[in-house]
Amino acid sequence: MKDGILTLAGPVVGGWAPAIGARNADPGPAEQAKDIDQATEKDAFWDLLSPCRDKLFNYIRKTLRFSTAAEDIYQETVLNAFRYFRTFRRDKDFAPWIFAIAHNALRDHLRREARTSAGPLVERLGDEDDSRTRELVGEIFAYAERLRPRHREVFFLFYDSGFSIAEIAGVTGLREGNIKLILNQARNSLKAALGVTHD
Amino acid sequence: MTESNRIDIDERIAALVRSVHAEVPAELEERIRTAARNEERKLRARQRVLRWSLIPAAAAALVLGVFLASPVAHRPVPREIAEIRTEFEIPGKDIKIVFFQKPDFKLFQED
Repeated sequence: MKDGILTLAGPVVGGWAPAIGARNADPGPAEQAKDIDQATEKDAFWDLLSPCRDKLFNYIRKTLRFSTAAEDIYQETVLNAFRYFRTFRRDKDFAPWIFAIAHNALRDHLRREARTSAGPLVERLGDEDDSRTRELVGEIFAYAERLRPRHREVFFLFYDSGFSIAEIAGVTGLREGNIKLILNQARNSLKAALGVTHD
Repeated sequence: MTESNRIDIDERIAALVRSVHAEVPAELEERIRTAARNEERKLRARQRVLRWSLIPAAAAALVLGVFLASPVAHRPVPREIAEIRTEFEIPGKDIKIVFFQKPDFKLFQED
């Protein structure tokens, strides 16, 4: 696994099609039907997780500034989601639901650890061929590192996970106005680095 | 900042942020699936124990309920008063007068 894979046109979150599949068990003894139902339920969980797995992992890693604790938080998130999958409403999107669980896990972790013990962020970034791109990536992540954890979460939920403002509000519990403010601050801070001079 | 500027900046930031990307390590994925399987096994065992302990518990509760409810169910219904009997004894005369009062006492009734 390598951090520096340049995927400038990464897939955006959207169209999280529920792949729940047929849940009707064959008629038979109640016990058998229950077992089949549980197995289908379990498969449905992994099917739904599959398309957002990497995005979830990257959101946690980036919010925790590539800390080694990211793997533990990811595991905790997935297991909690698996445990409470019965409470997930099938008419809703799965991604915001599991990201909200990750958000809670991150919040608890950040409360426990005032400051995560990650190494210098820029060193952990990839080795893009283009030195200008590398520089820009470094500036963006350095900016993200300076943000408060909650703001950093919003930043990565929008720019990395591709959630809309309404979805971020659902995941984090923040007001849409606050989210817009955080994103505007990010744009204003980064536009000079990106070479956008006109207003 | 115009709408097109905003979109342009957003796209560029998103592309740069997403250029640092990692996949979930295979060993972590395997660890999670194993933990989930173990948890599911434990849950099923707990449900099985609960299911089997629930039947005797329900039966015991039913017996106890019947036992407690039986005095209420078998409360003796007071019988209807069939007659009222009044007796007088005249002292020293060896005479005893007995009145019977019945719901359909016809002795003194005239048809």
